Amino acid sequence: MRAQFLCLRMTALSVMVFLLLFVHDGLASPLTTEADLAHGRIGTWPGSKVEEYARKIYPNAKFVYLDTVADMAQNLRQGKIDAFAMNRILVDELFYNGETGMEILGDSLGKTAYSFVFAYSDRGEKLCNEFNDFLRANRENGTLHELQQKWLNHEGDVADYKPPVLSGENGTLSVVINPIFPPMLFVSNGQFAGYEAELLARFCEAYGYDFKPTVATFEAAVGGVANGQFDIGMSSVEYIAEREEHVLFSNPTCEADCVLVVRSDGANSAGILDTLKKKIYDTLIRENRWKMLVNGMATTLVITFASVLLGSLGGFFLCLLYHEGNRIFNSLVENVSRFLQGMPVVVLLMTFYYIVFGSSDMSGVVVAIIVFSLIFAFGVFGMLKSGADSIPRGQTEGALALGFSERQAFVRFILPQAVRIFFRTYQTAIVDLLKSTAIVGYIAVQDLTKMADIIRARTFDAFAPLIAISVLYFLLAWLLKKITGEILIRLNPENRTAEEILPGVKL
Amino acid sequence: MSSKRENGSAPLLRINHVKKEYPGVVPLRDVNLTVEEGDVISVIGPSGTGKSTLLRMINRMEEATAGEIFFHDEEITSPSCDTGKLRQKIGMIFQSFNLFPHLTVIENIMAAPVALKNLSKQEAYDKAKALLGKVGLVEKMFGYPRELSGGQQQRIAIVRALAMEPELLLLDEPTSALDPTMTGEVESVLNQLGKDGVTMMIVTHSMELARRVSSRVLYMDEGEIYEEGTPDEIFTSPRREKTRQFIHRLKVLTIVVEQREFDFVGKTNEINVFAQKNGVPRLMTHFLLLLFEELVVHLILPRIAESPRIVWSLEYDAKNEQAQMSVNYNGGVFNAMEGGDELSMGIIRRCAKTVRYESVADEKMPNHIFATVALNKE
Repeated sequence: MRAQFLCLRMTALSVMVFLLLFVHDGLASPLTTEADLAHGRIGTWPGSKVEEYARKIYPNAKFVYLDTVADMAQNLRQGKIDAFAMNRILVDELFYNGETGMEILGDSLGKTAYSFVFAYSDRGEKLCNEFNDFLRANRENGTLHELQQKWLNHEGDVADYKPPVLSGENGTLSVVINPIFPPMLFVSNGQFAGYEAELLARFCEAYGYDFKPTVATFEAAVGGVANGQFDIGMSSVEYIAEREEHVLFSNPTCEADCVLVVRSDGANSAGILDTLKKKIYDTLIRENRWKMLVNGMATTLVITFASVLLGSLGGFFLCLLYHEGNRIFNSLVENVSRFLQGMPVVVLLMTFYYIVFGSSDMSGVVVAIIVFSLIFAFGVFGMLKSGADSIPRGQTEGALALGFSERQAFVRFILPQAVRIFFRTYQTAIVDLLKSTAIVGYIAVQDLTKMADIIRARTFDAFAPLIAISVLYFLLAWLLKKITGEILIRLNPENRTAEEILPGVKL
Repeated sequence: MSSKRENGSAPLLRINHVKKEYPGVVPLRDVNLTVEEGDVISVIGPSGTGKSTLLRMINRMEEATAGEIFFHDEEITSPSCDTGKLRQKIGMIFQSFNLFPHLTVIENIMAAPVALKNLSKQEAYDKAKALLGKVGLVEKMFGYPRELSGGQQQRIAIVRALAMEPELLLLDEPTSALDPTMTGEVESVLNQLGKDGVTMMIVTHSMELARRVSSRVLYMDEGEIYEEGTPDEIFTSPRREKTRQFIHRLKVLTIVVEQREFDFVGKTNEINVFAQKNGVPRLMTHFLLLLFEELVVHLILPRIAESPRIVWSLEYDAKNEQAQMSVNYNGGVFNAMEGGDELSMGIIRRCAKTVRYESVADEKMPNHIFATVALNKE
């Protein structure tokens, strides 16, 4: 017990050190001249219009590809890049959020436009036409302008935005959404909000649709849109000619200038404690964002528990079948095992989600459970097999000599011993599984890590969300270790009483 | 159980011309044996002669390459034999006990009767308890194997086998893994079982065990049952040479010299290695080396005119710390110790307890010199 407390205290101490390092973001010196940028590092999106414009002006600069404005701001703050090229809509949100250490350099680099995308199919074209009609009508009656003023220019209150209730009388649209682009599309008070979100909701309302959102990056999901797995792709999708070869673009929903953002002298003057307070407030309290973390944690736990359960069962059966010694089956198992070990989990997840189950509308959580169960099953199989292999042959012979069959000997006497050998490794494997689920964001699952990404995109701050999920992951791992340890103690056959050993026998 | 079979009925076990072959080795060439109910048979013999293999073929842990084994009238070497059913009737005890470490003693004993003979838990328990009583281990019922001494574990293993009421009990080196203070308790149990009429076949290195518990002793060598008899016959008056050597734990070394300029250093090294391996006392080794040098090099070799052939052999009896040395040589009939160098003769007389010459009616090798070497000269 004392050792455990000491251990906890040490962990707490290291978390504090970690914390202090993070709070002190390490502001780099301002660098603002255009001349300096000529050979500087510029953050941007790959293949975007902003990149195209920036490359024209700074052909010798080094371009660094980053995902969100939050990431770009963080990199710029820490001096990892010297500027980032981005559209004005997203940049303004950064300043609206209170960023004072940056400024826009020079004039607009050029214009870019954002659209919804559809599949090149009858259904896709029909939807696209309907959406274009919807845009035209709303532009003419001024609604579009009103929405732009409200969301993009922050004229008017958006804090208590309530999406309309959708009837869905004409069916449900499957929409791929990546809510990390405030003010275009983000999560507020646990629901999708922003200019594009309201546009989508109003479109659905007008045409009698409901929609089923799937959270994924557009790059990962573009194939899904092209083959009809998703009806609509959105979230600041820029019009680029090459993209148009694969998916059908609607008319632009809005246009924006492209600008370069650099560091300025106006560093944040707030004290460390106030900064920390604000960061924690923004990450957890504001808009009840802690609820997102709780939901993410629940998803992470569901995936972990389901995979451990199914994987353990699967591993057990694999081991039993393997012991039967069918050559074809065994070589299949060995090869699949080798294949799984050689594949990055993220690749496996995406393969299953976009290719194997691409044409079904299986949810990301289910696919994640299937993939992790598979991986865990082969892990358990490996552990059990090496455990069973380490039991001396004499144990099997002892059982055979009494008249048990090979299978009975294995199930009754060898496996139970193997389980006891592998249990410690098994515990570690469960915690490893928990941690490796952090990548399910790639396949449209909003787990703990993905939720932190979404919050990060909203608050433009990497520190607090990361610390929050570090602590949560640590607690979950600790909890899992505790639970499995407790099971181990409960299941230990040596703690049984005589009555438990021989139930119903008169001693 | 102990009653001998009536005329006409089949013996409990019959082994017919059984052969076992591994790639490059033939541990069992041709084994024939009949086991009657109530027999307690010990199988002894040097390592690698296939004793354990023979035992393991009887309950089909190993397959025979050729030949048949009959249990009652059933040919158990046939592929159609139900090995599970067979093994329920033939128990086996292992050198390393093979108790299941994750189960309590009572669970170890009850597992097979409950699962395979459909005994109720209560029946199996009552029976296990009675058997534990016989070996004096009732209070260990809820203990785990690792909490028991080796001797106790082996007694539990015996109880576990007996709980299936086997008609034949095979014991593979039952006391070899035990330290000497514990072999006694297992031997007593086996002795009692023999008296109760349990048919047993025991492979063992322990001659004490074989002598104490068995009614028949088989000496196995050269891939067959080389000699068979009662314990008295085998241990006090073995008829055949290899049996005698084994019983007396004799070790044999033969050196042949066929050239005047033979490799003297090499040959003396062979004697040294042999002596070291078999624990021949240092002083005796010294005597043996001197005898070899004086007899072969100084007395015999110079007196053989051409193509000498000298066979020097040594038999070491570890039990009595005594060595028998013999030298056969050619070159016509002559006693090399007569008229030989006086210095050499002095050395020979000092090293050997007895030494004598004998000529035999063998034209090629007519001369024999025998010497005994022992340290406790009286």
